[in-house]
Amino acid sequence: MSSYCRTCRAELPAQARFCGKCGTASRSHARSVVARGQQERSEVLRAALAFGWVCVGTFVAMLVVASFVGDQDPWSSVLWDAAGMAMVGLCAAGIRGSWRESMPLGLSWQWLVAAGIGAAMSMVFGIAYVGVLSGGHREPSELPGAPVIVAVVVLAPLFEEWLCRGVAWRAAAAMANPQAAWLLTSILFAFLHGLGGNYLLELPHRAFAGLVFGWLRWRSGSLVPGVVAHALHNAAAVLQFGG
Amino acid sequence: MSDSEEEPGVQPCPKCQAENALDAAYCIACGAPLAPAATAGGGGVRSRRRARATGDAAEQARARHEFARVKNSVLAVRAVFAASAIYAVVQVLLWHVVLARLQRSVEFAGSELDQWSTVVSILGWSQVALLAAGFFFVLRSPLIWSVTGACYMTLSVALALWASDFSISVASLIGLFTVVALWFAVGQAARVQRLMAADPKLQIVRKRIDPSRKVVGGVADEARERRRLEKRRTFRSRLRLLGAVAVLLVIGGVAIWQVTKPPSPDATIAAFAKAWQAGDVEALGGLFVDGPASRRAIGLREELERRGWQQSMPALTAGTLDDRGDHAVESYTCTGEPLRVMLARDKFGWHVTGVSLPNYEVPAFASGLAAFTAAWQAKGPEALVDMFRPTSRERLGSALKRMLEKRKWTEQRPALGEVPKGKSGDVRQRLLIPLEDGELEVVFEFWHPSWRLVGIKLPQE
Repeated sequence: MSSYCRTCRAELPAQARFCGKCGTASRSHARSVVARGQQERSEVLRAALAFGWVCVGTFVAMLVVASFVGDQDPWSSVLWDAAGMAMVGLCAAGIRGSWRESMPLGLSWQWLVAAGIGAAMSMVFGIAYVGVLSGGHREPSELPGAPVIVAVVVLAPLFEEWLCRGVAWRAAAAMANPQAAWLLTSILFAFLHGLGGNYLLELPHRAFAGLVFGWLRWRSGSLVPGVVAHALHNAAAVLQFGG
Repeated sequence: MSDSEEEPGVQPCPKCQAENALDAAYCIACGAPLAPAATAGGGGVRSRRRARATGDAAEQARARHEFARVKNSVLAVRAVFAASAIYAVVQVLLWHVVLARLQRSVEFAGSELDQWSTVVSILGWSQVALLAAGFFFVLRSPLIWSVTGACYMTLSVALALWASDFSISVASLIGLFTVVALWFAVGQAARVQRLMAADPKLQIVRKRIDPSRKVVGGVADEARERRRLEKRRTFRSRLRLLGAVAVLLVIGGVAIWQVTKPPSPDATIAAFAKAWQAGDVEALGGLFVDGPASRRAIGLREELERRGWQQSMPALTAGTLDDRGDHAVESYTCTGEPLRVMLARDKFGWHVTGVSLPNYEVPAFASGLAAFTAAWQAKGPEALVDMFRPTSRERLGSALKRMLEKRKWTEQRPALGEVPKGKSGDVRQRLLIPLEDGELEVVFEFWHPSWRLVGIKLPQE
């Protein structure tokens, strides 16, 4: 069935999107373009909301746990921190799609090797950076207690990788592209560690580690290499620097 | 004839290769302008350059429209970066000044202060560098720098709240608002970046038009001028309306203030002074809130009578008013002593609530005592009755006569024992005078010009 151009009233062939005489888009095509644009805008804004919630929600959860639990019971602090981050991640993941989609878990031995190399690179950078900051002077430190080891070596890699390279990665990729997601999640990862007390001093080596772990996530398509690299990095940091 | 040759009566689109009628000016599939047939071969190169912008004409038009709307959010983020950078510079410089002053004091050891100075320098200037980089590069990569700014502001606000024990202040509210605004801007920046990636011609900063290409005059300029004049007309009319409203408000306010202005006590004070000069005790009593029969008016009359001022009162000097809103005090000088008139305002106006007359010297009581002693020893009750005040003489006199008749003391009364002298200076004297069989209680008051008997109690039979 032919229709007519709404501008010059020329007859439009069937399935034509534009008028051949004046170039005006047909009514149906114009509507579909608008609908597509609105859908894209909605997806981008939801992705930005999820990304922002990961940042803000993590800060809020850490501050709330630190305020109400404090240092009274290390295990309580660890568990509440984990619970807080889980809530943040589930909420953020639920904003865009299912939470299961935020945890790709493929695994291959090549990527495990790459994870070890990545952990070594980030550790070397971290040691060099801390050495420069401290001027080469560092007091010997002792091993922390079991709660801190579990929190730093086991729980932190799991939750941080899921939040940054799982939930936030998916949101950032929806906002832009995988390359931008790699950069954005590294930036997020670096700033999330600033609450530890060293503020912006944490940025450089955390950002480098974020880039390494993010590259593993990007190329492997799975969270597992990043989690392994992060756990190895943290274990080495605990041995080197203590709690 | 090969399959790739064009069908007669159709022309391919240089952009999407869709078939279009020979007389078509635009492609019906993508809306791109169709090149003339003579230059169709050369249009291939031109079409490759044009094909960089993805999407058809409608999508490009929609993208341009949306880009024009959302790009301002990136400019706003840039402004936030600029303001934050300036603030960070000021903070760092202040910290350096503080540390320099501390260095002159003896509180800190030298090496510890040097460490603090180094940490402050690194932290502070790295902040400034980060914010300055954001200011310069946010227009090229809006999404990454918007996220950086939002994360930085979130971290700063979180640390500030943590350091202040989560106390909400103006600065923390501004920070929270900025955090929310920046994360909102991240979504807009993502949209802007996608649009810029889809169409490289879309730029955030508008470049200046080459003067040789600028078109002066024409319908666009006329429309712009028309809009400018219309805006000016509207602004002037609104200004006039605002002025009229302001004038009306001022006039109305003045009128309301005049109508509701509380009356001044001057009229009541003038009436008091006039009645005082005329010696009109009734008029003075009428100035009290309950009228001349009120307790206070009666009390004033008695005080004036006590002083002997009931017929004429001494002159008053010029008064001074102490206005305290709903209460006022007018102070005069009378016979060298202060005289104060207390006034209060109610819904009916100002009224006198009290008059504080000057003190007066009470004469010696001996004369009154001697007069009473003589009256008691005299025959008959008349001398005793004459000692009462004229206003109460009849009432108290008849009562005394009855009491004396009852005891058969009308003509002669028992002798008085030792009469006490009384307290000097008191305007009221109460005496207990011993008799042969009992005590006689008498009360005297000074009512100008003499002491008067105001009460007498005979001993129990």
